[in-house]
Amino acid sequence: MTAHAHAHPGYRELHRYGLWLFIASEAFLFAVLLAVRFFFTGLEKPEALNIPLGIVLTVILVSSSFTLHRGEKAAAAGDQAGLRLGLLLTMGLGVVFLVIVGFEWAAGFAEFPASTPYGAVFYLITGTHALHLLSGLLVLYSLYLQDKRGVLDEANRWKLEAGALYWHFIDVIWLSVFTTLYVL
Amino acid sequence: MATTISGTGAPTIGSRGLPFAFRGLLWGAVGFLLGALLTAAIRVLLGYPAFALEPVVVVGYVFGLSGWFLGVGVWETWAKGWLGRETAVYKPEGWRRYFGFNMDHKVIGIQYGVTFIALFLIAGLLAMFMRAELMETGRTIFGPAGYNRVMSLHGLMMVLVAVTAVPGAFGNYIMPLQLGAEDMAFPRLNALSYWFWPPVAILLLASQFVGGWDTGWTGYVPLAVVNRPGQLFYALAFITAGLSSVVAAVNFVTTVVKMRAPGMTWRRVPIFTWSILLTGILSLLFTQAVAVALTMTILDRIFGGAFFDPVMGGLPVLYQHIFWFYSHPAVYVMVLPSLGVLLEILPPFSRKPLFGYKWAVGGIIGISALSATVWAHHMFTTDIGLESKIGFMLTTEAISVPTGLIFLSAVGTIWRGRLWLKTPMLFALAIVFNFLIGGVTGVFLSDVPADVTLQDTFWVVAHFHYTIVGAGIFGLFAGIYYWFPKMTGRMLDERLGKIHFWMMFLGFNLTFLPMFWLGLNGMNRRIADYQPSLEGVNTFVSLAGFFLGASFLFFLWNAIVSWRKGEPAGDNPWGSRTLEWQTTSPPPELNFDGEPEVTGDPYGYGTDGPAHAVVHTETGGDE
Repeated sequence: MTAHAHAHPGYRELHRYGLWLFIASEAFLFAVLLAVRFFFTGLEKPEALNIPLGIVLTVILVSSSFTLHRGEKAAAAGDQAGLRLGLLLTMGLGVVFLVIVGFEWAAGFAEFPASTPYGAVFYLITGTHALHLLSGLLVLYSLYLQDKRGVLDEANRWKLEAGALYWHFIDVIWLSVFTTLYVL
Repeated sequence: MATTISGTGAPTIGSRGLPFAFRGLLWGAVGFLLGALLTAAIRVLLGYPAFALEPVVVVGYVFGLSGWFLGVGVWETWAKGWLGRETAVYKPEGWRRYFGFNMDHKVIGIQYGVTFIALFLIAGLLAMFMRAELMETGRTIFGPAGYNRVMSLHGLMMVLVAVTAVPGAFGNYIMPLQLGAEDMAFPRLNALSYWFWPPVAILLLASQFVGGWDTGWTGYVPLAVVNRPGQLFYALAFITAGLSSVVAAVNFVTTVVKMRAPGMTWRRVPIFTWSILLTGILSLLFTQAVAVALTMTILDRIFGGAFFDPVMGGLPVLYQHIFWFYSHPAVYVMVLPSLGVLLEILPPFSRKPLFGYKWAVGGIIGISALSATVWAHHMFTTDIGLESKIGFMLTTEAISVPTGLIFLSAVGTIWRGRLWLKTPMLFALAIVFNFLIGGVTGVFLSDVPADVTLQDTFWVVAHFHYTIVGAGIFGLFAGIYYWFPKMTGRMLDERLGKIHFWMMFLGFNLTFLPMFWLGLNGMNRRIADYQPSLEGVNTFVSLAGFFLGASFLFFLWNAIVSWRKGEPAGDNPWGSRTLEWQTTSPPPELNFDGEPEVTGDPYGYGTDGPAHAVVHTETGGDE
């Protein structure tokens, strides 16, 4: 490929563009999902909804974006240990988030089961988000493994940027999920 | 490693042993079993009976799909990199290159083309059975239940063919060549998008062993929630196809925006590539909606969700909103690439520049933009309110305007040209004829009072077959006759091609034109029977349909024989100007023996303008 150098954009520019397209597509997915909530239940929501827990979840995810950003900064400064710490902390916060969502679901099944309109919407949206978060965790774990094997060098730094961008996107999505399901 | 995806340095795999596609089946089966066991274990832990078909199928399928991908080559070519290990490239010679995770866009284009011709022929055969049932009133071969199953399978398969065949085959093979690129932007994603399709085919096959489904391709609720398990396979197949579309769309859009050769300004982008770009944008954004609608159906089926059951407070009409929010843009995904093929073929076969290039591009963009605003015209017999209906009627009618621009460009290009009536040109001219009928009959359906009468009659069947077959599928064949020489290096036989064309064109019109009359006289679609007074016309339609079906035998014979022993095509048999013709047939591994540079108009036929492009060879001379 290099022997045949066209005036093509660099690897990073190309991949950044593609990732943003994918994010636009995913944003449409969540836009449709959030619209479903208003279509179904208007602005009504059940009394049993645990709003403080929702705030805790939000704080956890926002913090995870912060720790990941610190990790990225460390990597840019050549501090591999700092990168690995950032990745581990972020993954830890992500796992805590999923565990809390699990408890919230278990409690929610009794109060607003999937056989009620709000329940159906709630599990659909939080479930879709949780699956995306799970995929984000796999991406971070893959980055962690690659870093441990020493292949996440300067040439492959884009992978870190991509993983981080995806993780931040999932966070931003959570903010809109939280606003839609808990606040409005 | 990651910077050289076509990987001249990476080790190659796949040239010996079991073809990777079979290993994919094996690993997929193992994955399915793991998922099934996991589901059973979780069910037992939660105190349910271990086995329940639908949860086992859903979880098993997710694991099976992962196993399939790893087996078909993702493991060596991609996944090992996620673990920080070295990846390889799947690059065998000969027939083996089609049976694994090959990243060459030319291989993928042929994989798509062959797969979708096969699906098209199978789904067409199903239509023959439907017409056999409708030959006479009463039960003819399989009666009402069997008819609806066959109709549903025909519908979904043909929709998938119409959405995918042209972008899959020519978007992959031709579009990068037209741009002067050496491959797509993301070769791995490209291979990924293709290998979603065998699982779709397996699901559709498997669905028939658990009773099939009978909702048509639209899968309306509440029937889709209470239906047989075949409906679940329908939903999984449709979602899988959607994933493929999204992945492919990211690739198409990035490639057109970022991979154009030096000098290819937006004003010089070939019209087919424009149509693929806009198709990509539509798929990228709207496919997500249908995934939501089908996921809601699955959740209702498995978890007793409240989405679509009015007793629990659910809203069945919401399904239609979400479904058509995707599926109306999707009908333009079916038609736009074929209109691109049409406008690509007319200039070289009229030896004239494309008339109103800018207006044609504007027409494609206009159709795409408006397509997002018309979905509820499929819902004029629901309770969405008269004000909404009038709004959707107006947006729908407004689509005639950009469509008219494309007609203007087509007719203006032919006007006073020196028409060269080879097979590709005949198919292109047929699109203009068919799509005019399809478009004009659509105006009646966009009108609310007319639609209330015509809804779910054969008028609708005739209308959408005139647009989707008359333009979409005719465009597929126009493209095959035009680009087959480039893809295989050999010409299709012109005499067999003309027999195929005239049989297909006459058979198509004789089949579907009388259906407008049948619809006006009250014949309902999706019902295996009709009033006795319509029997004569139905018998005629069936016979015409069989004639149409027989035309594809000539195509199949032609394609197989010509691929093996056809006349050698040379680089540019049609004297075309666009870049895919400025290289060998088929092109070398990196597409061009040099550096393409775009210097002029792609359609300056018969003008004194500069060539569209030159290819600078390594030695310095120009070809």
